[in-house]
Amino acid sequence: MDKVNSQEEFKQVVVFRLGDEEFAVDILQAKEIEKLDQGITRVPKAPIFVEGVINLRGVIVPIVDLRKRFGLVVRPVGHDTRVIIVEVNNNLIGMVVDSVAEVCRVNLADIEPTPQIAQGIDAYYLSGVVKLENERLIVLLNLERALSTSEAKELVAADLEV
Amino acid sequence: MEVSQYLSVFMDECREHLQTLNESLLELEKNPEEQSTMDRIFRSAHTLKGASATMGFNRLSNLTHAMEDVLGKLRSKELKLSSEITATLFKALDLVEVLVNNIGEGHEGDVDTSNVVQDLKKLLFEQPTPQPVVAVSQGNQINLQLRYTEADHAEIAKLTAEGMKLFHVELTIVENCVLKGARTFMILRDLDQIGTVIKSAPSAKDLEDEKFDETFMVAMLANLTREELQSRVANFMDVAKAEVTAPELDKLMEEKRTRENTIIDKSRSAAGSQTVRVDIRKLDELMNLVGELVISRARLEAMGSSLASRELDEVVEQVGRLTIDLRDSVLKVRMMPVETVFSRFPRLVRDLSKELGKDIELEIHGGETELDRTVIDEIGDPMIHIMRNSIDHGIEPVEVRRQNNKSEKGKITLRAYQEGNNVVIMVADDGRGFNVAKVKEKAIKQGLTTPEEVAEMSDDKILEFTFLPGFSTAEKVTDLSGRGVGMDVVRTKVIALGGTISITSKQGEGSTVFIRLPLTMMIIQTLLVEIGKEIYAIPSSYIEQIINLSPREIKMIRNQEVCVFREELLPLLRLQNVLGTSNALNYQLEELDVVVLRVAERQVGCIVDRLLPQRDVVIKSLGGFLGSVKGITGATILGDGRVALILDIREIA
Repeated sequence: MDKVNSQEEFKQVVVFRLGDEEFAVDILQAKEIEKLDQGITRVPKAPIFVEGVINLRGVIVPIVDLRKRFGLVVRPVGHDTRVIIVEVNNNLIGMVVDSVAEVCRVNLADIEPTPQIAQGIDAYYLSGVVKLENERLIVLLNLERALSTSEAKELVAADLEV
Repeated sequence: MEVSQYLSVFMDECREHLQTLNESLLELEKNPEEQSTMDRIFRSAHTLKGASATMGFNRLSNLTHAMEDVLGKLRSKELKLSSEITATLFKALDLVEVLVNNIGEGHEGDVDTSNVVQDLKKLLFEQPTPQPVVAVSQGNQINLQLRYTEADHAEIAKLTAEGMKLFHVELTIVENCVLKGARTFMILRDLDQIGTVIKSAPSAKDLEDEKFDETFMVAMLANLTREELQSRVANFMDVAKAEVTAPELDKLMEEKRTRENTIIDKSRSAAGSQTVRVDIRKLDELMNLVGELVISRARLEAMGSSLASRELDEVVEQVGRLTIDLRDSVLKVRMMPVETVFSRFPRLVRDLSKELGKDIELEIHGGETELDRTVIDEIGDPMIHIMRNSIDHGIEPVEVRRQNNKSEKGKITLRAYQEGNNVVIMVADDGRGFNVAKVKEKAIKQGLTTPEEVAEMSDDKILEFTFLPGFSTAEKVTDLSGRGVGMDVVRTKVIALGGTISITSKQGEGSTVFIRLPLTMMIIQTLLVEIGKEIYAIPSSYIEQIINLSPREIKMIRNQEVCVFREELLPLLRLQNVLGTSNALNYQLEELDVVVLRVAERQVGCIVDRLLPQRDVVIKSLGGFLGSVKGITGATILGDGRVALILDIREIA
């Protein structure tokens, strides 16, 4: 795949952390990054991983805790906690992450298919893994799947049954 | 395609012109001599033709072209309006509508327009051209019509109260009169000395400019008898002929009223050109920004109060006032007169009554009442259904009406008015009304109720059964309605719009349907309540009363908390259990606040922790990701920027 050094061979991603692991989403999907300084309004009977809704300059935006979404250990909000507002299927959704690391450029050729389970998350929700220098491993999220409503609803049912 | 960006504008325009054409044609059918209507209808057809040709829709432009030709001849009096012409024009209009709708769906379609175009073309040649002389005199007659304005009527009323009488003076000055303008000026001045001149036709200015032939009309009030005035006017210089008549005031008032009732207000349609088309989404955006402003203002206020600066307070207060004005203006921009919905109905009534061989008159009041655009868009179809019911089942055939000593002409009244935060739309007919006994019988037969229950119900209550799915009292299924899929659909729609619907009826005298709609869907009045540190908004329209309760008054019946309210048992609901709220206080409180909610016939008391003020709130959607959450209709942003959820009372109660 080492052809001409054109733009299309790279993509920019926003890298964030959940615990010690690093994840990334395509920068084209990330709208903004906010501090979690306003109260979240809990929505009764919403899926368990939905923390509630916030007011983003007049628009009501649901907030998803990615830790709960992926069944990781839940952590309290810390100093570095951020909300990445992403747009998925024309809906704005806020993802709570432990911290935002950087925006970086990854070579498309470096993206490898995900193993069945990466960092304890089902490969279904991921779109690949990138290995950077000094053995850094970044997991790319497939937001359409990770934050899809129908999927989310199934998950709610599953959670309740357990 | 380049054209597509103009398509929506074109569609809007087409619909508007269709509306105008339909209305004007109906009007023309009643007053074929009305030149202004003729002009309007011609202009509309002309614009429509031009626009469709520009957009490259050939069928549409051919059709409208043929219409324009016929209308042009009508306008120039080369053709005389006949029922055949109106029928053909209406047929053409229907076809235009089909074409426009097809275009909206992306293709002009293969509708055959050639027949109608042929028919239109035939009209052009069939009628002999009347003598031009006749045409001129007709033109004059229109010119000589005295049109009173509101102010004129007030003046007339005032002066007649003082004992003066109204006269119409028709004056013809001698043929070879020099300085006609000056002469008429003198005549008007002289008349003004005898009494009070209200108006002349042509106007005084046109008279002075000699813009008339020989004859003109003057309306005046005087303290004389008709004969006295006649003799005095006849003696004026250069007056060849004078004819004084005393019009009946009642008739004038009647004329005035009918003119007011015609749906299209002429002055309004003239002003209609000064508008800007705006995408509704842009208005939503604007509304959002205003909402943001309201929130920022609240923050500013909080800051101001901590600084205790009078100057700052003043500015904050001014900003507050401006913000509210701004919010109100944005809301007003979204409002449209219900006229836009009502104006479809004259045509509907005309066509259906012709089809059914009934004679029906439609009266429309309050078309200027305004509703939010969203509501306007949605209410049309349910209204058509109700109107059809009235025409088909309500109004009896002519023979039946005659037998029952009713006037042969049936009457449907459409009325809209504002009532607090609601707009009421009323459709009344003077037809046969509902047979309550039959409704009862049917409700029992369908197992909806029992004879004992029915015995205690009021008539209006019994009529509510007609809104249930599959319920129809019509014996004969016609093409129009009565298939039993009517009123339940109507009701569902009205409820979805946040409204209510009810019927009153008297057998033999007619029935009336009332639709009550919220003024705007964007803003509703709510009561804010606190439950376990969370704030929820309850739409005020469901709140029956707020009561104060001591925990001792709560009884348990079959595991259900109840209390006595208006001598009846009221089931109580602790909202924290429904909403899963933690840390609710109300089990520890000495005195409980209970919001009594009413949904249809059911009542339930909701125990809350604390009552907060009533607020008008802007409803916002929770967004597509969450979709519909049970028990929640939406969210709103409070003054401090926090989000509060609006409870779906129908779901909860």
